[in-house]
Amino acid sequence: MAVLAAHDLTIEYATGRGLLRAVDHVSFTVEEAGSTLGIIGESGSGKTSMVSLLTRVYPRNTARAGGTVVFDGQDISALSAEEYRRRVRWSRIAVVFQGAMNSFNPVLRVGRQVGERLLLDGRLSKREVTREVERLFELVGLTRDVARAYPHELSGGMKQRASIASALSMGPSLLILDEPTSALDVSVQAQIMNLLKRLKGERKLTYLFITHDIALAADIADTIAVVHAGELRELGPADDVLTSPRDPYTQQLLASVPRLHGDRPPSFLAGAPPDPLQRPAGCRFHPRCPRTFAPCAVRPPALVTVAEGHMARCWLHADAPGTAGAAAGDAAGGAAGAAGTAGTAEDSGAAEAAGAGSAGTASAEDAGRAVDIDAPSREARR
Amino acid sequence: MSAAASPGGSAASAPSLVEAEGLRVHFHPRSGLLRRSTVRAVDGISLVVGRREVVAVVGESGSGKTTLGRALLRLAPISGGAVRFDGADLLALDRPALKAYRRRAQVVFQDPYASNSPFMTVGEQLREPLAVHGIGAVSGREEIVLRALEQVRLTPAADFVDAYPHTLSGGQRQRICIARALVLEPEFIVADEPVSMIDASSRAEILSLLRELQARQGVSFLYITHDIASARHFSDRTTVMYLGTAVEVGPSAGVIEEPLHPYTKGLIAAVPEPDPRNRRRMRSVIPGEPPNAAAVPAGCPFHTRCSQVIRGRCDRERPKLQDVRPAHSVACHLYDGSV
Repeated sequence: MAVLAAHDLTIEYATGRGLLRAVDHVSFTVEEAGSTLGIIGESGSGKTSMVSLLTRVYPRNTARAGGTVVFDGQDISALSAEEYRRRVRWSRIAVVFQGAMNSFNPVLRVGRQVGERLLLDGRLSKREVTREVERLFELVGLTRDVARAYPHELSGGMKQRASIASALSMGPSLLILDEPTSALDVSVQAQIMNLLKRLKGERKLTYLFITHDIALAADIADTIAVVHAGELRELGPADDVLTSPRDPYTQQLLASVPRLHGDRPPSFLAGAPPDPLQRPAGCRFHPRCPRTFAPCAVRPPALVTVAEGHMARCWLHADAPGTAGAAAGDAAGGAAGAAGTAGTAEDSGAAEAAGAGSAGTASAEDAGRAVDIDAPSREARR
Repeated sequence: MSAAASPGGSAASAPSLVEAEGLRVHFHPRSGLLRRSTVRAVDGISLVVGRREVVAVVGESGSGKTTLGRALLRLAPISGGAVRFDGADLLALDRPALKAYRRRAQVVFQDPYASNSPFMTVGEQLREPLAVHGIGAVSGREEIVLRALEQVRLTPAADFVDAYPHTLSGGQRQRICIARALVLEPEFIVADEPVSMIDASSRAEILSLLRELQARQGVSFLYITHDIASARHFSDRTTVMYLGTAVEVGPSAGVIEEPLHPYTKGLIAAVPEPDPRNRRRMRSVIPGEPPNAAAVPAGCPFHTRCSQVIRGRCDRERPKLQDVRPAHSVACHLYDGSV
């Protein structure tokens, strides 16, 4: 049974110019406990909105949030906001937010802030909390005395370690890491990546690792999901996606990485991701794609299986346009791109994925009931 | 754009535009924890940027690379050493001469979200430097602005003139900042971490643009970065900086293919590459973070983090830059016998 199965995740924000669908029917699973799903996308691709859906901390202007999330066999999207807060948030699913290292209160000692949730939880005495915080600090490679320091006395790398300790304080098994190293130097980034790898092995932690940098994702992810304009474009085992990417977007992301060896300069993706309020017809990537052909501008491609456990959303891989997947896309009309979103990421057994990928079932209209919107985002400790 | 990438080191013989010699920038904080100490942000750097050359300065936060860039523009107080621009002593410039220098030397900052005014259109921001320096008739400035936008590939340029920065992506904003530097037709641009806040997928676009400006218009760049892999492709020569000093200097390809200094090797080992095997192994990283520039260790500044430290030597005597290969020098006691 999958550790995490997200189905038909969709989120819409109310903006001055209309409804903005930041995440559009995204489905994925993390099969094995202790494995890492890397989610890669540019700014505006919807990757941070996916974090909102999983953690149920929504921006104020969220108009609709839908989809189901099954975690450890339990449908956590069906829980009430209060139940989610008591039973899931931090204790089972924790987040290291982007910029978490800069969110420490400058006038409180770091240890006090890392132990805050343990204190509020009330199960441990004050002294036990202090000891637990020291243990957490050692776990993330900080000395005990750092707990007594104030945030300004810590370097960026130390603060990021402390925010990881904070996220781990309630013993979660799933850690969502939203750009955890983007504000750090390359050398400190490598230290944090080593720490995450060690924790993953020692504690069997499952990670969702969210980044705009495919090279960084390669450092830790077992499965890679590439998102663009609110949709999954490619999903598969890291070995496969990194060595033989099928989607032109993934190929371009890989080509944009400056390599240490060889004289070939990195290429780049021209242009910017499409305006989410005016996404292009057909394939949402086609205006930036170097390999467009007839169907790309007209019909949205479905997510189809291209290899064992490996899916891509690209007409180059839809062997027979006009078959099931494409037809469903046409029939759904306004529900562009709905066909085939019910794919699953298979880490191990791939038999299921082969079936699930090609047969698009869900349409935009029946895309999971809207979940209630949790208390305002100030609940998130940022 | 790839044609612009001249082989590393070839420009080293070009006549120099910027020359720093033993440059020092020391700060004396008057309050706070560091009072009564001296912060040695830049501590004796010599550096040459030739005409039509891109020189990368690579180092971690706190290495002094930003202060170095500012000092070359006379935006930081210079405590010692000399800086010459096109043969003229920068420290001797009076106000009018300094203003003239500011036209010839420009800067692009790290954060494109903070270095554009949200209340001014792109056109207004680009016209401002022209007004400050009294360039062109007011009516002729529009043309200069449009040309600059085209140079940074914001086309059709007319569409961008009336746009406000919030409607643009990070990469587009950074190109506005580059265009703003370009309207004055500078000879030298300090690009301080110009892509570190931009999506990985758009970084190469900005950097190849700088390369193109170098090749087509002969602009020289000081490219400040913590990402040594990008220096490999977008600079001719690289200076690796640690705690205010240069620890390795050489042709960029040579420095990265055959690094000499243990610090350079550590920076290279830290670069993530999209190799799926990486997730199964730990990266060999430099432990810790650079010490405070107010308490630079005695001897080699790097010896406290170096895995190859020679006790009794590295902690006592500061190594000098020495040529180990043609045009490739290193400040490290490991190479003392090899010269």
